[in-house]
Amino acid sequence: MESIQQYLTDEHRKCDNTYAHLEEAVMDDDENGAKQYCDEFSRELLEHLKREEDVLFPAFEAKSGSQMGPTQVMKMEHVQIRDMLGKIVELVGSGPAKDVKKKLIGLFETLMILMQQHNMKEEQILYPMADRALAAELEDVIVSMKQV
Amino acid sequence: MTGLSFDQAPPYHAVGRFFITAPVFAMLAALVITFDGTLLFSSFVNFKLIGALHWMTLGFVSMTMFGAMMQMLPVLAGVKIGSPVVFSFAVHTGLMTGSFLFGASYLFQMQELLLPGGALVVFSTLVFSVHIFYKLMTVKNSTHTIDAMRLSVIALMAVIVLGFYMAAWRLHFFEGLGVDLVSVHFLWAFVGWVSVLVMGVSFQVIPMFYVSPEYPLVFRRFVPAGIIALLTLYTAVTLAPLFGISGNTGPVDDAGTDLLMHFRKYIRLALYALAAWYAVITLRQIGRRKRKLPDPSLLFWNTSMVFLILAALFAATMEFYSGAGSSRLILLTGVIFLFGFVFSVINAMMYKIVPFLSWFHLASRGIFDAPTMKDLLGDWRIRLQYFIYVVFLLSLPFALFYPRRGHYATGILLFVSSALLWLNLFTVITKYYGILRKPR
Repeated sequence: MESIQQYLTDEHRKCDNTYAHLEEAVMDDDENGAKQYCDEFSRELLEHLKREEDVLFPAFEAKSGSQMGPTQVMKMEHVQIRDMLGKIVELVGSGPAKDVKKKLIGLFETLMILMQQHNMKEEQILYPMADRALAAELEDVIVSMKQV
Repeated sequence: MTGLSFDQAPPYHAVGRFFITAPVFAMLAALVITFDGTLLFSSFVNFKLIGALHWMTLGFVSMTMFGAMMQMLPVLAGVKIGSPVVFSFAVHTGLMTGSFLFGASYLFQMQELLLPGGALVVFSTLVFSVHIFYKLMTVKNSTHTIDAMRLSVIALMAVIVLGFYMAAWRLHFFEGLGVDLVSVHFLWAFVGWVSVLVMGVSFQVIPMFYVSPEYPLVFRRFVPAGIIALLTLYTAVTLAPLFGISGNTGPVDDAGTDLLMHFRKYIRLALYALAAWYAVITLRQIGRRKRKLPDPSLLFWNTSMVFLILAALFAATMEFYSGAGSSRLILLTGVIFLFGFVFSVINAMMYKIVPFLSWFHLASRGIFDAPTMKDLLGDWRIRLQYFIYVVFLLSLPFALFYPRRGHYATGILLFVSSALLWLNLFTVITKYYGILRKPR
Protein backbone atom coordinates (compact mmCIF):
# COMPACT_ATOMS: atom_id res chain seq x y z
CA MET A 1 0.00 0.00 0.00
CA GLU A 2 1.15 3.50 -0.82
CA SER A 3 2.37 5.58 2.11
CA ILE A 4 2.01 9.30 2.66
CA GLN A 5 5.78 9.42 2.44
CA GLN A 6 5.86 7.87 -1.05
CA TYR A 7 2.90 9.76 -2.43
CA LEU A 8 4.00 13.23 -1.35
CA THR A 9 7.70 12.66 -1.97
CA ASP A 10 6.87 11.70 -5.56
CA GLU A 11 4.98 14.96 -5.86
CA HIS A 12 8.03 16.89 -4.64
CA ARG A 13 10.15 15.24 -7.34
CA LYS A 14 7.55 15.95 -10.00
CA CYS A 15 7.52 19.64 -9.03
CA ASP A 16 11.34 19.68 -9.10
CA ASN A 17 11.33 18.33 -12.65
CA THR A 18 8.89 20.90 -13.93
CA TYR A 19 10.83 23.60 -12.08
CA ALA A 20 14.04 22.54 -13.84
CA HIS A 21 12.23 22.86 -17.21
CA LEU A 22 10.96 26.30 -16.24
CA GLU A 23 14.44 27.45 -15.29
CA GLU A 24 15.87 26.12 -18.53
CA ALA A 25 13.21 27.82 -20.63
CA VAL A 26 13.93 31.17 -18.95
CA MET A 27 17.68 30.63 -19.41
CA ASP A 28 17.15 29.94 -23.12
CA ASP A 29 14.85 32.98 -23.57
CA ASP A 30 12.09 30.59 -24.62
CA GLU A 31 9.15 32.82 -23.76
CA ASN A 32 6.38 30.39 -24.65
CA GLY A 33 8.11 27.49 -22.92
CA ALA A 34 8.61 29.61 -19.84
CA LYS A 35 4.94 30.54 -19.68
CA GLN A 36 3.84 26.96 -20.25
CA TYR A 37 6.17 25.48 -17.60
CA CYS A 38 5.40 28.31 -15.21
CA ASP A 39 1.67 27.51 -15.43
CA GLU A 40 2.38 23.82 -15.00
CA PHE A 41 4.73 24.31 -12.07
CA SER A 42 2.44 26.77 -10.36
CA ARG A 43 -0.51 24.37 -10.68
CA GLU A 44 1.45 21.35 -9.42
CA LEU A 45 2.97 23.22 -6.52
CA LEU A 46 -0.24 24.89 -5.36
CA GLU A 47 -2.14 21.62 -5.57
CA HIS A 48 0.52 19.92 -3.51
CA LEU A 49 0.44 22.62 -0.83
CA LYS A 50 -3.36 22.47 -0.77
CA ARG A 51 -3.35 18.67 -0.33
CA GLU A 52 -1.17 19.09 2.70
CA GLU A 53 -3.01 22.05 4.18
CA ASP A 54 -6.55 20.82 3.56
CA VAL A 55 -6.14 17.12 4.28
CA LEU A 56 -2.86 16.00 5.76
CA PHE A 57 -2.20 18.73 8.30
CA PRO A 58 -5.70 18.80 9.83
CA ALA A 59 -5.75 14.98 10.05
CA PHE A 60 -2.34 14.97 11.67
CA GLU A 61 -3.22 17.80 14.04
CA ALA A 62 -6.38 15.97 15.10
CA LYS A 63 -4.28 12.93 15.99
CA SER A 64 -1.48 14.80 17.73
CA GLY A 65 -3.92 17.17 19.42
CA SER A 66 -1.85 20.23 18.60
CA GLN A 67 -1.79 22.88 15.93
CA MET A 68 1.45 24.30 17.24
CA GLY A 69 3.61 21.32 16.35
CA PRO A 70 5.51 20.63 13.15
CA THR A 71 2.59 21.54 10.90
CA GLN A 72 2.74 25.10 12.19
CA VAL A 73 6.27 25.56 10.81
CA MET A 74 5.40 23.85 7.55
CA LYS A 75 2.48 26.24 7.05
CA MET A 76 4.69 29.23 7.68
CA GLU A 77 7.14 27.97 5.09
CA HIS A 78 4.26 27.43 2.67
CA VAL A 79 3.49 31.13 3.02
CA GLN A 80 7.08 31.94 2.06
CA ILE A 81 6.98 29.51 -0.86
CA ARG A 82 3.69 30.97 -2.17
CA ASP A 83 5.10 34.47 -1.86
CA MET A 84 8.17 33.57 -3.96
CA LEU A 85 6.02 31.70 -6.47
CA GLY A 86 3.78 34.75 -6.83
CA LYS A 87 6.79 36.92 -7.66
CA ILE A 88 8.01 34.40 -10.24
CA VAL A 89 4.61 34.05 -11.92
CA GLU A 90 4.34 37.83 -12.16
CA LEU A 91 7.79 38.22 -13.69
CA VAL A 92 7.37 35.39 -16.19
CA GLY A 93 4.11 37.00 -17.30
CA SER A 94 5.74 40.40 -17.71
CA GLY A 95 7.86 39.44 -20.71
CA PRO A 96 11.40 38.71 -21.74
CA ALA A 97 13.24 41.90 -20.76
CA LYS A 98 16.84 41.36 -19.72
CA ASP A 99 16.58 42.63 -16.16
CA VAL A 100 13.48 40.49 -15.69
CA LYS A 101 15.58 37.44 -16.55
CA LYS A 102 18.24 38.43 -14.06
CA LYS A 103 15.66 38.92 -11.33
CA LEU A 104 14.03 35.62 -12.18
CA ILE A 105 17.29 33.71 -11.92
CA GLY A 106 17.89 35.27 -8.50
CA LEU A 107 14.43 34.15 -7.40
CA PHE A 108 14.88 30.67 -8.88
CA GLU A 109 17.97 29.95 -6.84
CA THR A 110 16.40 31.13 -3.60
CA LEU A 111 13.07 29.35 -4.12
CA MET A 112 14.95 26.17 -5.05
CA ILE A 113 16.82 26.04 -1.76
CA LEU A 114 13.80 27.18 0.21
CA MET A 115 11.74 24.34 -1.30
CA GLN A 116 14.47 21.75 -0.86
CA GLN A 117 15.16 22.45 2.77
CA HIS A 118 11.40 22.46 3.33
CA ASN A 119 11.08 19.13 1.49
CA MET A 120 13.90 17.63 3.57
CA LYS A 121 12.03 18.46 6.75
CA GLU A 122 8.80 17.02 5.42
CA GLU A 123 10.30 13.90 3.91
CA GLN A 124 12.50 13.08 6.83
CA ILE A 125 10.47 14.19 9.77
CA LEU A 126 6.85 15.05 9.07
CA TYR A 127 5.82 12.34 6.58
CA PRO A 128 7.21 9.43 8.61
CA MET A 129 5.47 10.88 11.70
CA ALA A 130 2.24 11.22 9.74
CA ASP A 131 2.52 7.67 8.38
CA ARG A 132 2.80 6.40 11.94
CA ALA A 133 0.15 8.65 13.48
CA LEU A 134 -2.38 8.05 10.71
CA ALA A 135 -1.64 4.35 10.13
CA ALA A 136 -5.26 3.35 10.77
CA GLU A 137 -6.77 5.70 8.21
CA LEU A 138 -3.89 5.88 5.76
CA GLU A 139 -5.93 4.90 2.72
CA ASP A 140 -8.67 7.44 3.41
CA VAL A 141 -6.16 10.23 3.88
CA ILE A 142 -4.40 9.45 0.61
CA VAL A 143 -7.67 9.16 -1.30
CA SER A 144 -8.84 12.50 0.13
CA MET A 145 -5.54 14.11 -0.84
CA LYS A 146 -5.88 12.83 -4.40
CA GLN A 147 -9.32 14.43 -4.62
CA VAL A 148 -8.08 17.90 -3.74
CA MET B 1 7.32 14.42 19.88
CA THR B 2 10.04 15.82 17.71
CA GLY B 3 8.87 19.30 16.88
CA LEU B 4 9.81 21.40 13.95
CA SER B 5 9.94 24.93 15.11
CA PHE B 6 11.65 28.13 14.19
CA ASP B 7 13.66 28.31 17.37
CA GLN B 8 15.00 24.94 16.38
CA ALA B 9 17.16 26.54 13.72
CA PRO B 10 20.22 27.86 15.57
CA PRO B 11 20.52 31.66 15.62
CA TYR B 12 22.32 33.22 12.66
CA HIS B 13 25.43 34.20 14.59
CA ALA B 14 25.76 30.74 16.19
CA VAL B 15 26.45 29.24 12.77
CA GLY B 16 27.90 32.24 10.97
CA ARG B 17 30.84 32.56 13.36
CA PHE B 18 32.25 29.21 12.22
CA PHE B 19 32.14 30.19 8.56
CA ILE B 20 33.63 33.64 8.96
CA THR B 21 36.50 32.32 11.09
CA ALA B 22 37.55 29.45 8.82
CA PRO B 23 39.04 31.38 5.87
CA VAL B 24 41.29 33.28 8.29
CA PHE B 25 43.04 30.01 9.13
CA ALA B 26 43.47 29.29 5.42
CA MET B 27 45.04 32.77 5.08
CA LEU B 28 47.39 32.02 7.97
CA ALA B 29 48.43 28.73 6.40
CA ALA B 30 48.96 30.56 3.10
CA LEU B 31 51.30 33.03 4.81
CA VAL B 32 53.36 30.14 6.16
CA ILE B 33 53.61 28.62 2.69
CA THR B 34 54.65 31.98 1.25
CA PHE B 35 57.37 32.66 3.77
CA ASP B 36 58.70 29.15 4.15
CA GLY B 37 59.68 27.57 0.86
CA THR B 38 60.69 24.29 2.43
CA LEU B 39 57.27 23.68 3.89
CA LEU B 40 54.98 22.57 1.13
CA PHE B 41 57.16 19.96 -0.47
CA SER B 42 59.79 19.25 2.08
CA SER B 43 61.22 15.78 1.85
CA PHE B 44 60.08 14.76 5.31
CA VAL B 45 57.29 15.54 7.73
CA ASN B 46 58.57 18.41 9.83
CA PHE B 47 57.13 20.37 12.71
CA LYS B 48 56.29 23.41 10.64
CA LEU B 49 54.28 21.26 8.30
CA ILE B 50 52.38 19.75 11.21
CA GLY B 51 51.60 23.25 12.47
CA ALA B 52 50.39 24.67 9.16
CA LEU B 53 48.50 21.46 8.38
CA HIS B 54 46.53 21.70 11.62
CA TRP B 55 45.67 25.31 10.99
CA MET B 56 44.03 24.00 7.82
CA THR B 57 42.46 20.79 9.12
CA LEU B 58 41.24 22.13 12.48
CA GLY B 59 40.91 25.84 11.82
CA PHE B 60 39.47 25.62 8.33
CA VAL B 61 38.09 22.14 7.66
CA SER B 62 36.65 21.10 11.04
CA MET B 63 35.55 24.69 11.73
CA THR B 64 33.33 24.75 8.62
CA MET B 65 32.15 21.16 9.08
CA PHE B 66 31.01 21.96 12.62
CA GLY B 67 29.10 25.04 11.49
CA ALA B 68 27.51 23.18 8.61
CA MET B 69 26.45 20.24 10.79
CA MET B 70 24.88 22.56 13.35
CA GLN B 71 22.89 24.13 10.57
CA MET B 72 21.93 20.94 8.77
CA LEU B 73 20.93 18.69 11.65
CA PRO B 74 17.64 20.41 12.46
CA VAL B 75 16.71 20.34 8.75
CA LEU B 76 17.97 16.86 7.91
CA ALA B 77 17.18 15.04 11.10
CA GLY B 78 14.81 17.21 13.09
CA VAL B 79 17.17 17.25 16.05
CA LYS B 80 17.54 20.29 18.18
CA ILE B 81 20.89 21.28 19.58
CA GLY B 82 20.60 22.00 23.28
CA SER B 83 21.32 25.68 24.10
CA PRO B 84 22.74 26.43 20.65
CA VAL B 85 24.17 29.80 21.70
CA VAL B 86 26.24 28.45 24.58
CA PHE B 87 27.17 25.31 22.64
CA SER B 88 28.28 27.29 19.60
CA PHE B 89 30.21 29.79 21.71
CA ALA B 90 32.06 27.09 23.65
CA VAL B 91 32.89 24.94 20.63
CA HIS B 92 33.80 27.83 18.36
CA THR B 93 35.94 29.71 20.88
CA GLY B 94 37.66 26.51 22.00
CA LEU B 95 38.35 25.33 18.48
CA MET B 96 39.52 28.72 17.25
CA THR B 97 41.87 29.43 20.14
CA GLY B 98 42.99 25.82 20.42
CA SER B 99 43.73 25.42 16.70
CA PHE B 100 45.70 28.63 16.67
CA LEU B 101 47.82 27.75 19.70
CA PHE B 102 48.28 24.14 18.62
CA GLY B 103 49.46 25.11 15.14
CA ALA B 104 51.66 27.89 16.52
CA SER B 105 53.32 25.54 19.00
CA TYR B 106 54.65 23.44 16.13
CA LEU B 107 55.31 26.30 13.72
CA PHE B 108 57.30 28.43 16.14
CA GLN B 109 58.71 25.58 18.21
CA MET B 110 56.96 26.87 21.31
CA GLN B 111 56.31 23.70 23.20
CA GLU B 112 54.64 25.59 26.04
CA LEU B 113 51.69 26.33 23.73
CA LEU B 114 51.09 22.67 22.98
CA LEU B 115 49.39 21.87 26.26
CA PRO B 116 46.83 24.73 26.28
CA GLY B 117 46.32 24.45 22.51
CA GLY B 118 45.92 20.69 22.55
CA ALA B 119 43.65 20.80 25.58
CA LEU B 120 41.35 23.36 23.96
CA VAL B 121 41.21 21.39 20.72
CA VAL B 122 40.39 18.16 22.53
CA PHE B 123 37.82 19.93 24.69
CA SER B 124 35.98 21.63 21.82
CA THR B 125 36.05 18.69 19.42
CA LEU B 126 34.96 16.26 22.12
CA VAL B 127 32.11 18.49 23.29
CA PHE B 128 30.99 18.77 19.70
CA SER B 129 31.33 15.12 18.73
CA VAL B 130 29.79 13.67 21.87
CA HIS B 131 26.80 16.00 21.82
CA ILE B 132 26.18 15.64 18.10
CA PHE B 133 26.64 11.87 18.20
CA TYR B 134 24.12 11.60 21.01
CA LYS B 135 21.67 13.75 19.04
CA LEU B 136 22.21 11.70 15.89
CA MET B 137 21.50 8.49 17.78
CA THR B 138 18.10 9.83 18.90
CA VAL B 139 16.91 10.21 15.30
CA LYS B 140 14.06 7.80 14.66
CA ASN B 141 13.90 7.71 10.89
CA SER B 142 17.48 7.33 9.90
CA THR B 143 18.55 7.85 6.31
CA HIS B 144 21.78 7.00 4.55
CA THR B 145 22.85 10.59 5.10
CA ILE B 146 22.28 10.35 8.84
CA ASP B 147 24.00 6.94 8.97
CA ALA B 148 27.02 8.46 7.24
CA MET B 149 27.00 11.41 9.66
CA ARG B 150 26.99 9.05 12.62
CA LEU B 151 29.94 7.14 11.17
CA SER B 152 31.84 10.31 10.40
CA VAL B 153 31.41 11.54 13.98
CA ILE B 154 32.71 8.18 15.25
CA ALA B 155 35.69 8.70 12.96
CA LEU B 156 36.16 12.18 14.41
CA MET B 157 36.30 10.69 17.89
CA ALA B 158 38.98 8.25 16.72
CA VAL B 159 40.93 11.19 15.28
CA ILE B 160 40.71 13.02 18.61
CA VAL B 161 41.84 10.01 20.65
CA LEU B 162 44.79 9.35 18.34
CA GLY B 163 45.73 13.02 18.24
CA PHE B 164 45.52 13.23 22.00
CA TYR B 165 47.78 10.21 22.29
CA MET B 166 50.41 11.73 20.01
CA ALA B 167 50.35 15.14 21.68
CA ALA B 168 50.52 13.59 25.15
CA TRP B 169 53.44 11.44 24.05
CA ARG B 170 55.21 14.51 22.69
CA LEU B 171 54.62 16.23 26.03
CA HIS B 172 56.25 13.19 27.72
CA PHE B 173 53.14 12.33 29.69
CA PHE B 174 53.98 8.71 29.06
CA GLU B 175 56.28 6.49 27.11
CA GLY B 176 55.20 5.87 23.53
CA LEU B 177 53.58 2.59 22.59
CA GLY B 178 56.27 1.96 20.03
CA VAL B 179 53.97 1.87 17.02
CA ASP B 180 53.63 4.61 14.44
CA LEU B 181 50.10 5.97 14.62
CA VAL B 182 50.55 8.96 12.29
CA SER B 183 49.01 7.26 9.27
CA VAL B 184 46.16 5.91 11.42
CA HIS B 185 45.36 9.42 12.72
CA PHE B 186 45.67 10.83 9.23
CA LEU B 187 43.43 8.22 7.54
CA TRP B 188 40.71 8.44 10.19
CA ALA B 189 40.74 12.24 9.73
CA PHE B 190 40.81 12.51 5.96
CA VAL B 191 38.95 9.39 4.87
CA GLY B 192 36.80 8.72 7.94
CA TRP B 193 35.76 12.11 9.31
CA VAL B 194 35.95 14.36 6.26
CA SER B 195 35.21 12.06 3.30
CA VAL B 196 32.41 10.07 4.90
CA LEU B 197 30.73 13.29 6.01
CA VAL B 198 31.03 14.79 2.53
CA MET B 199 29.60 11.57 1.07
CA GLY B 200 26.64 11.59 3.43
CA VAL B 201 25.85 15.22 2.72
CA SER B 202 26.14 14.73 -1.03
CA PHE B 203 23.68 11.80 -0.95
CA GLN B 204 21.18 14.41 0.16
CA VAL B 205 22.12 17.67 -1.51
CA ILE B 206 23.25 16.58 -4.99
CA PRO B 207 19.89 15.01 -5.92
CA MET B 208 17.91 17.78 -4.24
CA PHE B 209 19.72 20.94 -5.24
CA TYR B 210 20.63 19.91 -8.77
CA VAL B 211 17.65 17.65 -9.49
CA SER B 212 19.74 14.61 -10.33
CA PRO B 213 19.05 10.89 -9.79
CA GLU B 214 19.70 9.39 -6.35
CA TYR B 215 23.11 7.83 -5.67
CA PRO B 216 23.04 4.06 -6.23
CA LEU B 217 21.51 2.31 -3.23
CA VAL B 218 24.40 -0.15 -2.91
CA PHE B 219 26.82 2.73 -2.70
CA ARG B 220 24.85 4.63 -0.08
CA ARG B 221 24.30 1.56 2.00
CA PHE B 222 27.73 0.00 1.99
CA VAL B 223 30.48 2.47 1.14
CA PRO B 224 30.48 4.73 4.24
CA ALA B 225 30.17 1.69 6.51
CA GLY B 226 32.82 -0.13 4.46
CA ILE B 227 35.24 2.76 4.90
CA ILE B 228 34.79 2.75 8.67
CA ALA B 229 35.22 -1.05 8.75
CA LEU B 230 38.43 -0.78 6.74
CA LEU B 231 39.75 1.96 9.00
CA THR B 232 38.99 -0.14 12.07
CA LEU B 233 40.82 -3.08 10.52
CA TYR B 234 43.72 -0.82 9.62
CA THR B 235 43.95 0.36 13.22
CA ALA B 236 43.85 -3.20 14.52
CA VAL B 237 46.59 -4.32 12.15
CA THR B 238 48.74 -1.35 13.12
CA LEU B 239 48.30 -2.09 16.81
CA ALA B 240 48.81 -5.86 16.36
CA PRO B 241 52.53 -5.86 17.28
CA LEU B 242 51.54 -4.56 20.73
CA PHE B 243 49.73 -7.81 21.28
CA GLY B 244 52.65 -9.91 20.22
CA ILE B 245 51.38 -10.49 16.69
CA SER B 246 54.20 -10.23 14.24
CA GLY B 247 54.01 -10.22 10.50
CA ASN B 248 57.65 -10.93 9.96
CA THR B 249 58.37 -14.10 8.12
CA GLY B 250 61.98 -13.24 7.41
CA PRO B 251 64.73 -11.33 9.17
CA VAL B 252 63.24 -8.62 11.40
CA ASP B 253 64.91 -5.74 9.57
CA ASP B 254 63.64 -6.88 6.19
CA ALA B 255 60.55 -4.73 5.82
CA GLY B 256 59.64 -6.30 2.52
CA THR B 257 58.60 -9.52 4.17
CA ASP B 258 56.43 -7.92 6.83
CA LEU B 259 52.96 -9.29 6.19
CA LEU B 260 51.28 -6.71 8.43
CA MET B 261 52.83 -3.96 6.39
CA HIS B 262 51.53 -5.50 3.20
CA PHE B 263 48.12 -5.88 4.75
CA ARG B 264 48.09 -2.22 5.70
CA LYS B 265 49.09 -1.26 2.19
CA TYR B 266 46.18 -3.17 0.66
CA ILE B 267 43.72 -1.62 3.09
CA ARG B 268 44.96 1.82 2.08
CA LEU B 269 44.56 0.90 -1.59
CA ALA B 270 40.99 -0.21 -0.94
CA LEU B 271 40.26 3.13 0.75
CA TYR B 272 41.68 5.06 -2.21
CA ALA B 273 39.57 2.96 -4.57
CA LEU B 274 36.37 3.72 -2.63
CA ALA B 275 37.19 7.45 -2.58
CA ALA B 276 37.77 7.44 -6.34
CA TRP B 277 34.56 5.49 -6.90
CA TYR B 278 32.65 8.10 -4.93
CA ALA B 279 34.14 10.89 -7.03
CA VAL B 280 33.32 9.15 -10.31
CA ILE B 281 29.71 8.53 -9.24
CA THR B 282 29.31 12.11 -8.07
CA LEU B 283 30.58 13.49 -11.38
CA ARG B 284 28.15 11.19 -13.16
CA GLN B 285 25.24 12.28 -10.96
CA ILE B 286 26.06 15.93 -11.60
CA GLY B 287 26.33 15.21 -15.33
CA ARG B 288 22.85 13.65 -15.27
CA ARG B 289 21.23 16.56 -13.44
CA LYS B 290 18.03 17.98 -14.83
CA ARG B 291 18.68 21.46 -13.51
CA LYS B 292 20.55 23.35 -16.21
CA LEU B 293 20.80 26.78 -14.62
CA PRO B 294 24.47 27.81 -14.49
CA ASP B 295 25.52 27.51 -10.89
CA PRO B 296 28.99 28.50 -9.68
CA SER B 297 28.78 26.00 -6.82
CA LEU B 298 28.97 23.26 -9.46
CA LEU B 299 32.38 24.54 -10.53
CA PHE B 300 33.60 23.78 -7.04
CA TRP B 301 31.88 20.38 -6.90
CA ASN B 302 33.36 19.29 -10.22
CA THR B 303 36.82 20.54 -9.37
CA SER B 304 36.61 18.86 -6.03
CA MET B 305 35.76 15.47 -7.51
CA VAL B 306 38.39 15.66 -10.24
CA PHE B 307 41.03 16.35 -7.62
CA LEU B 308 39.75 13.57 -5.39
CA ILE B 309 40.28 11.14 -8.29
CA LEU B 310 43.74 12.60 -8.88
CA ALA B 311 44.64 12.30 -5.19
CA ALA B 312 43.45 8.68 -5.09
CA LEU B 313 45.42 7.78 -8.23
CA PHE B 314 48.50 9.53 -6.91
CA ALA B 315 48.23 7.89 -3.52
CA ALA B 316 47.79 4.45 -5.10
CA THR B 317 50.80 4.99 -7.35
CA MET B 318 52.93 6.06 -4.42
CA GLU B 319 52.21 2.75 -2.67
CA PHE B 320 54.30 1.08 -5.37
CA TYR B 321 56.93 3.73 -5.95
CA SER B 322 59.72 4.37 -3.54
CA GLY B 323 62.28 5.96 -5.88
CA ALA B 324 63.74 9.44 -5.94
CA GLY B 325 61.56 12.20 -4.44
CA SER B 326 58.91 9.77 -3.24
CA SER B 327 58.40 11.46 0.13
CA ARG B 328 57.86 14.78 -1.64
CA LEU B 329 55.34 13.18 -3.93
CA ILE B 330 53.50 11.67 -0.97
CA LEU B 331 53.20 15.16 0.49
CA LEU B 332 51.93 16.39 -2.86
CA THR B 333 49.19 13.76 -2.64
CA GLY B 334 48.08 15.12 0.71
CA VAL B 335 48.19 18.65 -0.64
CA ILE B 336 46.04 17.68 -3.64
CA PHE B 337 43.55 15.96 -1.35
CA LEU B 338 43.32 18.81 1.12
CA PHE B 339 43.36 21.76 -1.25
CA GLY B 340 41.91 20.11 -4.35
CA PHE B 341 39.12 18.02 -2.86
CA VAL B 342 38.31 19.21 0.67
CA PHE B 343 38.85 22.95 0.26
CA SER B 344 36.80 23.01 -2.92
CA VAL B 345 33.82 21.07 -1.63
CA ILE B 346 33.73 23.28 1.47
CA ASN B 347 33.60 26.35 -0.77
CA ALA B 348 30.67 24.86 -2.67
CA MET B 349 28.86 24.21 0.60
CA MET B 350 29.47 27.62 2.16
CA TYR B 351 28.34 29.46 -0.96
CA LYS B 352 24.97 27.74 -0.66
CA ILE B 353 24.56 27.85 3.10
CA VAL B 354 25.59 31.41 3.99
CA PRO B 355 23.51 33.32 1.41
CA PHE B 356 20.50 31.04 1.96
CA LEU B 357 20.67 31.36 5.73
CA SER B 358 20.84 35.12 5.45
CA TRP B 359 17.83 35.23 3.17
CA PHE B 360 15.95 32.72 5.30
CA HIS B 361 16.51 34.51 8.59
CA LEU B 362 15.44 37.82 7.00
CA ALA B 363 12.36 36.31 5.34
CA SER B 364 11.42 34.53 8.55
CA ARG B 365 11.36 37.87 10.32
CA GLY B 366 8.68 38.97 7.94
CA ILE B 367 11.02 40.95 5.67
CA PHE B 368 9.42 39.67 2.48
CA ASP B 369 11.32 42.00 0.17
CA ALA B 370 14.55 40.47 1.46
CA PRO B 371 17.22 40.37 -1.28
CA THR B 372 17.55 36.96 -2.94
CA MET B 373 20.68 34.85 -2.58
CA LYS B 374 22.13 36.22 -5.79
CA ASP B 375 21.49 39.81 -4.63
CA LEU B 376 23.35 39.03 -1.42
CA LEU B 377 26.30 37.54 -3.29
CA GLY B 378 26.67 38.06 -7.03
CA ASP B 379 27.79 35.06 -9.08
CA TRP B 380 30.72 37.01 -10.48
CA ARG B 381 32.25 37.31 -7.01
CA ILE B 382 32.11 33.55 -6.57
CA ARG B 383 33.53 33.02 -10.06
CA LEU B 384 36.40 35.42 -9.43
CA GLN B 385 37.35 33.60 -6.25
CA TYR B 386 37.02 30.28 -8.05
CA PHE B 387 39.31 31.46 -10.84
CA ILE B 388 42.07 32.46 -8.41
CA TYR B 389 41.59 29.22 -6.52
CA VAL B 390 42.05 27.19 -9.71
CA VAL B 391 45.19 29.13 -10.63
CA PHE B 392 46.44 28.30 -7.13
CA LEU B 393 45.78 24.59 -7.74
CA LEU B 394 47.59 24.75 -11.05
CA SER B 395 50.54 26.42 -9.36
CA LEU B 396 51.09 23.42 -7.09
CA PRO B 397 53.23 21.37 -9.52
CA PHE B 398 55.15 24.57 -10.24
CA ALA B 399 55.99 24.88 -6.55
CA LEU B 400 57.10 21.27 -6.64
CA PHE B 401 59.46 21.63 -9.56
CA TYR B 402 60.77 25.08 -8.64
CA PRO B 403 60.98 24.78 -4.88
CA ARG B 404 63.11 27.90 -4.55
CA ARG B 405 60.65 30.32 -6.09
CA GLY B 406 57.42 28.46 -6.76
CA HIS B 407 56.14 28.67 -3.22
CA TYR B 408 55.81 32.45 -3.41
CA ALA B 409 53.24 32.22 -6.17
CA THR B 410 51.44 29.29 -4.54
CA GLY B 411 51.30 30.90 -1.12
CA ILE B 412 50.15 34.27 -2.43
CA LEU B 413 47.49 32.70 -4.65
CA LEU B 414 46.14 30.66 -1.75
CA PHE B 415 46.15 33.77 0.39
CA VAL B 416 44.26 35.86 -2.17
CA SER B 417 41.76 33.09 -2.83
CA SER B 418 41.08 32.57 0.88
CA ALA B 419 40.89 36.32 1.48
CA LEU B 420 38.31 36.62 -1.31
CA LEU B 421 36.34 33.77 0.21
CA TRP B 422 36.39 35.60 3.51
CA LEU B 423 35.39 38.87 1.83
CA ASN B 424 32.51 37.18 0.00
CA LEU B 425 31.13 35.72 3.21
CA PHE B 426 31.75 38.97 5.06
CA THR B 427 29.80 40.87 2.38
CA VAL B 428 26.78 38.63 2.82
CA ILE B 429 26.89 38.86 6.60
CA THR B 430 27.28 42.65 6.53
CA LYS B 431 24.35 42.98 4.16
CA TYR B 432 22.30 40.76 6.45
CA TYR B 433 22.92 42.89 9.51
CA GLY B 434 22.48 46.07 7.45
CA ILE B 435 19.00 45.03 6.34
CA LEU B 436 18.10 43.74 9.77
CA ARG B 437 18.97 47.05 11.42
CA LYS B 438 17.26 49.20 8.82
CA PRO B 439 14.29 50.88 10.48
CA ARG B 440 10.98 49.81 8.94
